[in-house]
Formats: sequence, structure tokens, C-alpha cells
Amino acid sequence: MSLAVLFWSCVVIFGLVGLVALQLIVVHLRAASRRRERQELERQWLPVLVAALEERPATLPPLAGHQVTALMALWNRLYDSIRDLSSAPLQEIAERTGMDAAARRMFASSTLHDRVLAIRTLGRLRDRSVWPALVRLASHRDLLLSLAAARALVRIDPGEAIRLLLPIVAAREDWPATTVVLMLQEAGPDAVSQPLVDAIPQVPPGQVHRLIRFLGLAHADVAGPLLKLLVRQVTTVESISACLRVFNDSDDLGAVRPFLYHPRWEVRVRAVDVIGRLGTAKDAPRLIAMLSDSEWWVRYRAAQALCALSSNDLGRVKRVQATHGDPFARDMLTHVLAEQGAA
Amino acid sequence: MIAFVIETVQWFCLVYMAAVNTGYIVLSGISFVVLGRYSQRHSLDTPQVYSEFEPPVSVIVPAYNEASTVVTTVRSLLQLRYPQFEVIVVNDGSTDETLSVLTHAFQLRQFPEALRVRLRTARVRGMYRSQTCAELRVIDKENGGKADAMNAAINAARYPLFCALDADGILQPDSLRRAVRPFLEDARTVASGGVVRIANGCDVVGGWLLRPGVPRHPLALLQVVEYCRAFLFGRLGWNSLNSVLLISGAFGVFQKELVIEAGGYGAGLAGEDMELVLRLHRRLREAKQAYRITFVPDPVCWTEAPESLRVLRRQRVRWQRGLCESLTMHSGLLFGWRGGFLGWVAFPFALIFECLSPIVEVTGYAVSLIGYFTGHVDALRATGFLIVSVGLGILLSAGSLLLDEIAYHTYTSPRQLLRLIVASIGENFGYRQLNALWRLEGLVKWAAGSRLVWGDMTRSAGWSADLTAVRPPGNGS
Repeated sequence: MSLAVLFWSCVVIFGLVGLVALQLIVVHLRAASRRRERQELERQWLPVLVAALEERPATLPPLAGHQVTALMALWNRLYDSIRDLSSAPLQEIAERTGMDAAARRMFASSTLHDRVLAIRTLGRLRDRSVWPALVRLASHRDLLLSLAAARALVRIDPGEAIRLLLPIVAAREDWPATTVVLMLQEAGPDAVSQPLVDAIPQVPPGQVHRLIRFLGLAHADVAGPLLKLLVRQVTTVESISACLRVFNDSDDLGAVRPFLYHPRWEVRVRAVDVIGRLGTAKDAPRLIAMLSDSEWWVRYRAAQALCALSSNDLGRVKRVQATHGDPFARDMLTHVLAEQGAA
Repeated sequence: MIAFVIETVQWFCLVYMAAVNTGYIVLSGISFVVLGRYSQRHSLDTPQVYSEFEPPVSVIVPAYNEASTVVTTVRSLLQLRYPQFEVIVVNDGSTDETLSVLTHAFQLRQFPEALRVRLRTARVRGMYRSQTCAELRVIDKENGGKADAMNAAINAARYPLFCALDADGILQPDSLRRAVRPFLEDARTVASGGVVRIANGCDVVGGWLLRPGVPRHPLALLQVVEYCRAFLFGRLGWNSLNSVLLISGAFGVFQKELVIEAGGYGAGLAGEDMELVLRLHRRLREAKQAYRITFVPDPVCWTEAPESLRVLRRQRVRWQRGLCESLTMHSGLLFGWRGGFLGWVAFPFALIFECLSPIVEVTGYAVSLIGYFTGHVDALRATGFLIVSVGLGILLSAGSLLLDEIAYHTYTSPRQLLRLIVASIGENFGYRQLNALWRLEGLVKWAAGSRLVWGDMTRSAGWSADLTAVRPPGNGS
């Protein structure tokens, strides 16, 4: 290789090194300046926002146009932390600072961060003008966008939103169940109960378990009859487990007991749970038998259920522990009794 | 003849150097794009989309003679912002005070737990529960190595995900939440790992990381740049191609059932973390199952870097052995039927440019020196090659610092940044070459099949202060 090629290689490489080093310094200084600016905004505005929850502020600190996004983030953060307080003062501040108009502009932003922030803000401001767009976004393939849109819809009009969202809840595997629970809780049982009971028979059998698991959030008198029917009809492991998870009718335990002998342990463990919650002393022999199940979780839950059934007389459980023929069952009872402080 | 051999070797080394650096530059380009997108996506300052929805996690800390750091680690874990988790510390037959310091700090009491043994391990001597922190359990077992300790903890773990963590690891309060996020975003995720950083030089008090810092010790400082490059370039680049070959044993989250089905961690291996990841890749590909093994660029685990050449050498020799061992054990992935990008690009890249690179590097240096002293190599040309090689090294290191600065701005003071820039230059003069020698030693030892000796990983925990004065969060006492 000629020396000229080596020389120019060195020039190019060290030129690039110089450029990267320069950029590194510029990025560092810019990040430091942004951080200072954000801290300053927070120092000025956080006390104002917090005080506004008590009393309407007469004047607001100055706000430059480029600071609106940062204020919007701070406003949402505060909103997240005041679940039980009135949100009206924060809404008024949003209008006085032009945050609502800024959020509507940001709603179409190409930046995901700005878009989600705008959706959350407009949802909290109950801005109906974006309703059709939010409905479309709730089915967006991007998880963050779809969830943000769904929550905004629930905040704007819970009753209408739940009706629209339930088929999506059933269809989307990627929506975390706990997120959905939070949305349904926010909407409240009045808005959830009837639409949920109406939606369950409409969805395909492969998706039904995704709705059944939320029946516990509906009014018991509305959901109960359907659950009674479902527990006898559904056949998939997911659906049976979903039914047993929310099952709460002690008069109908006869429908649950056969599941103690289901070939899948995921079902057996749920059935043991139900017996532990709703069973009577008559179920003790069944639970004692379950202590010898091949699956650790079934044995563990059976021991817990047995203790729950005999909570007034743990001496009985201790006698079972001492006399049970299966060493796995004895170990499990020793474990659970120790957990209960009764070892 | 000698001149021909020297010239051939030099040309080979030059082509090799060009190929390896091209590979890293491509990976760095991918990393810049991916990190830009990731930062934008996850810069929302409230975690409300996911909060309280995460599946429960068992955090596993295997400890062998970790009396100086284990209490700090457990305290840092107990302050994690995560809805439901348990911490399982495994005392793997330590000969120091590991169990007694834990017993004292967390008021441990022996507990008659009915263990669900699904992976075979060395004998468990006892299970302990903390009287002050309900979520803490300790397994005391006979020594069986790190993999064996991990398997014992997996047997005791109650939750569907487990997080493997080194006993000297300090997590940030939201590290676990961020590492679990891929499991929520993509149901195909079976494992995720995060960035590991150097704790030396940071302010850590009672398990709390108060302020990230840059170490004073030159050896630790050089490792800061090295870790930055390894995590932000290498793994992030491969991640977008679902070809992550390693989730560091220092910090990774796995689906428990899948790991149990795969047989757990392989005992007696030098690189049990990489071997497990490759085994998962292999099994899932063979089963034609859609899956993701994800590297998350921002969850941060801070770990202590060795400050002595002796300990560092031992660590690097072991890492190289682990790499060789894992790649050969799963050579079936190489150009395999269902290998995909992993089998056709990432695996060969690791084999040629990471596993075999010490041979080429050390041979290149040796031949150049021999050629120089025997007059077969032109001094000006040799210097030119050296400058190009060093320049490329600096370019990649500086690029990784830039990437870190754009995404995280971890080191806030200009003085810290300056020291890192100096380190990114300095590591090319001696440190890189020393590393190549140690890695060659690891490769030779692996090839010779010599017995694996872990040795004590002496930890000073000099960055951690006031271990006993600070009340552990949630202690309630």
C-alpha cells in the first residue's frame, strides 16, 4: 500500500475523530443547557401548579413559546399524582397558558413523544374535537399510541368509549390486562357492566377469555348470571381460568368442584383458589387430596386454602400435616403453616 | 521467504482490520438510528402507560464471598420502583461472612420452605426469610458455582420472570421496570438485558446511587469507555436484527419457564450467561417459535470494575473462554438451516472478529515488530498502519461516547467528559494490546482444555459508603 493512501487514511480518520469530539462537546453543552432550562421551568411552575389546586393563581410566571411542551409534561406529571383531587384548576391553567391549542397542534406531530403527550393532555382536557381521530388511533398498531388514545377516549366519554373499546380489548393480544383494568376502573362499573356483558357473546371464542377476566369489574348482579352460564359452557383452558378467576358465587360451587380434577394444572390451581375463597368445611377432604397434586403451585394453593378454611382451628391443619402419608404434602403444609406463623 | 511471510501476514491483518472496523462502523450506524428512535419513544417522563401492569419478577443474586458488597446490593434492590417483586440471594457456599452479614442486616430466620426442585443443584442447606423485608429470601447451599446458584434460585422463584443480577450490581430505581418493558410491548420476548456501567467513581450510599461519576483509577476509567462501546455499539446494533448473542449475567431478565424447559444454566461453564442465550436461540429456532431476545439500551446496572491487573486479567481470560466455549457448544447455529441473520451474520461475526481476533491482533503486532527489527518492514509504513489502527480505535470509542451523550447525558460535568475523551484515546496505547494478550491466553486455555478456576473476584466496594448507617427503604424500623 502506498504511503499516500496511508497518509490520506490517517487524515480522514483523524478528521472524523475531530468531528465526533466536536459534536460530543456541542451535544454535552446543549444537554446541560436544556437540563438547566427544564429545572428552571420546574422551579417556577411546580409551586404554581400545586398552589392552583387550592386557589386560582392571579398571575402566572412568564412562559416562552418553546417551553409549552415542557410545561405540558410537568402538568401531566402533576395530574398523574392527584388522582382523587379536583382537576378543574389544572384545566384552567392549561387554557390560560394556551396548552390546549398547543396540544391540538402537537396531536399531528411526527414525533411519538409529542403525539402521546398531546393525546394525554387532550384526554385530560376532555377535548371532544379529537374524538374521531382518537377512535382511529385506538386501533393503531403502535401499542403506546393505541393505549394513550384508548385512555383519552375513556376520559372524554367513559360510557361511549367502553362500548367502542371492548371489541378492541378482545382482539388485541398486546394490550396488557392490567392497563385495561385501570381503564375500566376509571370508567367505573356503571359504564362497564352492561357493555361488557353484551360484548362477551359477540366476540370470537378464541378471544372471549380476554373479556371474561374483566367481569369482576362489573356489577355482580349484571355479570353473575352470565358467569354462571359461562363456567358451564367454556372449554378452553384460558376461558375456564378466566371464569374461575372472577367466580364469586358460593351457592354455585358445584360447578367449580369438577375443575379440581381437570387435566391442566392451570385450571386446577384456579379451582383450588375458588374453593379456598368460597368453600366450606365439607371441602377440606378435597383440598387434602389436592396436597398430593403433581404440580407445586396446586399443592401450595391447596395448603393455603386448607388454612383459610380452618382459620379458626389451625390445630386441625397441623394434625393433617403430622399424619399425611405424602411427604410432599407434609412439606407443603409445614411451609404454609410457617408462613402463617403457626409452625 | 521471511519477507514474503511477513508481507502476507501484514496484508492479512490489514484486510482483517478493515473488515472488523467496517463491521463495527455499520453496527454503530445502526445503533445511532435505533437509539434515536428508542430515546424518542421512551422519553415520555411518566411511566403511566405501563405502571402497575408489569408481571411480578424474582430478582436473583448469586453470591460467593461477597460479604463486602452484598448488603448494599440487596438494599439497592429493595428500593426498586416496581409493583411486585421478590429478591432471592443465593449464598453459594461462601467461605467469608456473606450469610452472617445478610442475617444481621436483614434479620434472617431459617424457614421450612417446600422447594419446588425442577433443576438439579448442589445440596441446599437451608432457606431463610427476612423478618424486616417480606420480599427477601436467602438460599444457603453448598458451593456449586454461579450457574448452580442461579438454578437453585430459579427453583425457589415464584414469579414468571426472573432477573439475574451480580452480587455487586447496583440498579437504578426504574431499571427493572425498563428491562421488563419489552415483555409488555412484544409478547414474543423471552429475555431482555440492559446496559451495564462501571460503579467505580460513583457516589453510592447504602445501596442508593446518588450521582454517577468517573473513576479516578486509570484501569477502571478505561473500562468505562470499553463498556460504553461494548453495550451501545455491539449489542444495540445486533438487537435490531434479533441477533443478540449475550445478555450479561450482571443484569438480564428471562422467562422462567422457558429457561427451565431449556435445562437452566449450564453448570461448570466459564460463560454460562452467553451459553444460555445461545441455547435459547437454538431451541426456539429449532421449534420454529417466533421470539425476541432484546437488548434495552437504558436500564442501567452499575457494577464494580477490577482495579488490579491481576483480577482484570483473570476476568478477561474467563470471558474469552466463555465466548469460545459457548460458540463451539452451539456451532449448529452457524450457517444453520433456520439460522437467519443470527446464524449467517452475527454468529460468524462473533466467531471471526471476537473469538479469533486475539490471534490475529497478537500475530500482527508480533510480526510487525519482528519485521521492523529484521529490516523487512519499512518503519514509516509500519507507523502509518499503527496510526490508522489507533485512529479507528479512537473513532469507535469517541462515537460510543457521543451516542451515550446524545441518549443519556450520564456524566454531567465537562471535566468528566474530558477525562472520558482522554481515556478513549489512551486505551489504544497499551490497554487494547494487553487485552488482546489476555484474550489470547483465554483462547489457548480453552483450546488446551485446562481446568476452569474462577478465583476470588476481589471487590473493594470503595465507591460504596456508609453501609450500616442508612436504613433500608421499606424496613419500617
